[in-house]
Amino acid sequence: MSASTSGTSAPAAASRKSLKAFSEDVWKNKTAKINAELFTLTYGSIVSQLCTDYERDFTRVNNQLYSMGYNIGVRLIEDFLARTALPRCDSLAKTSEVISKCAFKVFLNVTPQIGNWSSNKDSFSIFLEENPLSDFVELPMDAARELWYSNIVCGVLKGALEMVQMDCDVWFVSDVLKGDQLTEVRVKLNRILKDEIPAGED
Amino acid sequence: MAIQTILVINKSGGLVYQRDFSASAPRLSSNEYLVLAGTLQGVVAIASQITPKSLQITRKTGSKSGSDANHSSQLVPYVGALGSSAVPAQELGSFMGPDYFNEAFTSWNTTGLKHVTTDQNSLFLYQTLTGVKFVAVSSQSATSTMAVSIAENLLRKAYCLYVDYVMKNPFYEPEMPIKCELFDKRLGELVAQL
Amino acid sequence: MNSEYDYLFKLLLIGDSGVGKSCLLLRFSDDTYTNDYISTIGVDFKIKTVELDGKTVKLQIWDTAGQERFRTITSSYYRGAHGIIIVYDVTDQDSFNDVKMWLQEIDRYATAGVLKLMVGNKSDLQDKRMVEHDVAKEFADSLQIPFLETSALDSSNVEEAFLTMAKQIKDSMAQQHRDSGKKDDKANVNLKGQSLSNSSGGCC
Repeated sequence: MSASTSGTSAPAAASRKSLKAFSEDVWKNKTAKINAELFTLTYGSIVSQLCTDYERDFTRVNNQLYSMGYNIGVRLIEDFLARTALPRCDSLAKTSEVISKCAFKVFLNVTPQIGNWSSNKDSFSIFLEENPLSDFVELPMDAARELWYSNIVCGVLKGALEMVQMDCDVWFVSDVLKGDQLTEVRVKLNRILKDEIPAGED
Repeated sequence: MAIQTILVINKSGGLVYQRDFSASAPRLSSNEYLVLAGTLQGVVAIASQITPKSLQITRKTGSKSGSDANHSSQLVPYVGALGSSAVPAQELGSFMGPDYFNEAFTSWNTTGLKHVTTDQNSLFLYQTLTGVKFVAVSSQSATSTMAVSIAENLLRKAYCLYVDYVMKNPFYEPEMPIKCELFDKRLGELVAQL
Repeated sequence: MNSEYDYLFKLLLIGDSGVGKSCLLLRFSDDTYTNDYISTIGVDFKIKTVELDGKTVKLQIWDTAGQERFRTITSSYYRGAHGIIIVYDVTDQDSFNDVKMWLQEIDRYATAGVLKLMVGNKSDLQDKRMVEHDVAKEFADSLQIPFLETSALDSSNVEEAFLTMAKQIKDSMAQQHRDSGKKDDKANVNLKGQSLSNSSGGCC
């Protein structure tokens, strides 16, 4: 289940630093930031507008958010790689670590926990204790059952992982907005797209 | 180092960007450049297959033992201002600080083609984890390790510009020809630093 | 500058060696000369510039070598192809039988939902014909792949098929934008260039 074992286990630039410290540096010193409220409101207005446009057909809203996320993910991964120059992950465990400690940190300034590994190590969960997308949000009654408010995140992960040749399924298992105890995103690796890995990396 | 031409080749081997920076650059038609890009895609694939096993083994043992000495063989040293005064921070798109990055970095391209030198020209290739290739053609026959490092730094910076002014342009269609004036402008400024 | 064309589509030409792939498009492409890189790197290029809906489109046709010795490299040429043309020789039964093998290669290496076209070449050699038109047509229909026969004497229908393909690719691109809210949007041509044949939503 591992991609080619190219590169080192820690970022080259941070070979003497931990991934955490490295990510902290990228977030603090190399990333331009905007007001979090504006971000939250912008996302909120998109979701609420979609609910109106799709006449409160929340399945379609979920799909649209996922699709928008996918299109963001395939672009955002390039930004992530240009900024961090991280080597290819040699295992899904490493990938999960980079997602939580680096990607979530750099783009959302949160570091979710990783857990719930399947026995064959092909899927894991991301537990979002904090979710900057849904600060201040209360779901209306009719949306509480079907709407995955932050579904864009799943699409982003799907698109980004696909661009680094990992075919994954990503979905929400639970969300505190719906009254669940935890906000849990599940990532399942279907396969590594070996034939897509650029020549020169083998 | 005098850069004649910069190319961006998408992961399918299609030429999505080509720009001449010097009057001495060979005048090729767009079709000839398309053929050049496709050929490079093939040559990179072949090069990665004929990389001597001995080199590959060295690399693999290196990453397994995890010793710093072996790691450094893959590290590209950071080259700062690329030969002239640093550009002010606000000129760096979404990247903060005096430069796009300021540390050595690992090359993703470990067994493929990195540079080609002839008596009159050099060609440098930087490939991303997603398969995009940034290619620079120089009018000098550059063989020194320093020249290769400078080229890799330049091309990684071109990647940073691509990320900002191409990938983040919502109206850009991924994998298709790049027509972004801001990218043209910034890339011109980057090459002018040399 | 890079402003000469708005779109770049990648088309791949595959089939056994000797079926006449290279001749097929000689008159169709912008430049009539042959580069003949094929014996060196396993691929040759032909480029056709067309106008579609007021946009300049370059069709870059990757003419791959059929020989076994290039097999490991040619697989990498499938990457991100928008359309694939499988060619056989109507006077050579084996080349038709091998179409199945080529289709398997497509499934393995190409993007799910990539457009396909099957072409029987050398149809002017009636007295040597081994593969009947109806047999090939039935086979292509069963796989829902467009099919046509052609010859070096008259290749106009191939040119037309290429232009149709280019139009379909461009339309599916626009379609992708319109349909992005639907769950099955990945069933369209996947322009991100990933082969996702095993994942849900793949068609054809």
